[in-house]
Amino acid sequence: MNKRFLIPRSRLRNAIGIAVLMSAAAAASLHQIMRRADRAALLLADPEVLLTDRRLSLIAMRRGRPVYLHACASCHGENGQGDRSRGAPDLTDQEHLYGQGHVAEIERIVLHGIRSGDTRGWHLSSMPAFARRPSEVEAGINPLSPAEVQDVTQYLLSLRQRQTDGDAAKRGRLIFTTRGACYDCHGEDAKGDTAIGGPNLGDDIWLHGDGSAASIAQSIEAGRAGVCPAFGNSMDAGDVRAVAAFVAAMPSQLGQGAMR
Amino acid sequence: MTQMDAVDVQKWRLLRPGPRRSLFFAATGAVLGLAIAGYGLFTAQGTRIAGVSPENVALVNQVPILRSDFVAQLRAVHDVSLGDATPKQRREVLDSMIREELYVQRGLELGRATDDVDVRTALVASTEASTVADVLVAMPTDRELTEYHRAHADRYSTEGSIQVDDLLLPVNETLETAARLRDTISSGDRPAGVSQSSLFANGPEYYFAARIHLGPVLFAAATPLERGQTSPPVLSAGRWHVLVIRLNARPRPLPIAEVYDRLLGDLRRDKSARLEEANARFLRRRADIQIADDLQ
Repeated sequence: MNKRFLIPRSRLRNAIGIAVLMSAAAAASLHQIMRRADRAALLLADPEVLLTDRRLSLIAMRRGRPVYLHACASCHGENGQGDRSRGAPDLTDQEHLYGQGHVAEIERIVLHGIRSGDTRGWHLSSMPAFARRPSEVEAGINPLSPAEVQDVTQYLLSLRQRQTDGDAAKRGRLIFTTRGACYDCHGEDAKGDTAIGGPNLGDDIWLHGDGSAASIAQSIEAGRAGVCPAFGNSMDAGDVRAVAAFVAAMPSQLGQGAMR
Repeated sequence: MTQMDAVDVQKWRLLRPGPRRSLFFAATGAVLGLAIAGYGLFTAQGTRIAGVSPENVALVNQVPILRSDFVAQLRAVHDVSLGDATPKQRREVLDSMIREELYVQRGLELGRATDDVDVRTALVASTEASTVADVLVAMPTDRELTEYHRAHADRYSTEGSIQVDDLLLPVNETLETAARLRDTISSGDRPAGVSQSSLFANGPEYYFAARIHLGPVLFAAATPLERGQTSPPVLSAGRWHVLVIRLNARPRPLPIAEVYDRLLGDLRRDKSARLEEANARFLRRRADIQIADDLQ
């Protein structure tokens, strides 16, 4: 054995310890540098290519998932399935309440929220409570009577051929398009308006309740105004972009894969 | 052990003083420390930096223009994504955003924030919003929501609905004759001279509407009664009324799941109001406010 390379054991331990510490420090620094590089790549890219660029989508999914679990899952659920008892939309379907589901649009929601108090957020429409005295109902909206609420309910059920009273449905359509002013947010055809967050009432996707006559009537009587908080002041810009991409990908295979 | 081996071993004795080694480590530490401090200093928010950080598209006198705002503006003005926008479109939008920022800053220099009524209003709203930003972002716990719901149960119920036959007894009846007529009505007959008001011609009404239409006295007499019951004669606006209840669905307490959004909104509003009040007190305390003698 060549004694030239024999080092006393205690010294060797010290040397290895220092080497391990330095390696750990180097690895941590490298991780930070790479994280910053990933952040910059996410932020500098066109938001719409995040889901089509393989490298960027991987970064976004990896970074977006923990952010989603920390900030969004408490309302939208761990897998984005939503919670109708809280009016938190299902993020895995193709229905978009605000906008078309673009990354940039979701990013705006994360930054500025919905009815969050942030003036740059979405706050143009709220579902009025039609069973409230006029002073409590929004200006320009008239309260409805219980019979009128039932008529509108029948009309909405008729959009899915589930009405039980055809005449009431006809009266309900008239109320919907005239004095109820429902058309203002939901559109003449009740298909909704994603420019202001008016839900589509013609499909079978429900934000609140189960789509039964009772739950529809309850929404008309008591109104709805769900809130999504604004994270612009509390979340890093890279995290905002990543979680927006992560949420935008949820309806697709990419998002479902990231969920797993 | 040869002499060469002995020298190698000596080199590895870290505890043995070695001036050159110490100097080397000290210098390395100093350089590393400076590098970390410099990196932290020049990448921290609010610090004068040489470049524009990735989340921004420009800095105007160190005030950032956010990339997300730029992307939204491109979509709003030209209906294009960042990738699809032409250099001309990007330049145009960026120039308009820089112009706006310059005017905002100039406006602040000129004191427009204190002069212009609209700016003042917006500034107050914005400052209030920033005060309560944490409250709006934080999700209350289920326990908090449950307690709030329990404490304000009266707010979270359905609006009751009611349908009443409001029967008007002949004018100038005494209480005794009114009571006799009431007994006849409750047995299902309609005595001569008794007329029915046109209220509730279109079916049931919500409590709030019935209160307005019946008036507070009749409404108070009607709501405790069950369907099919007849009220005692009630004197209102100089005439005796007898109320026959056709339907009375009283307000029903709603569980949290059915009022979640309202509950959350109310809870946050209450918290925000308390915080704003505390903030206003703090601002008053630290401010030097002088009030005219006649308003003291």
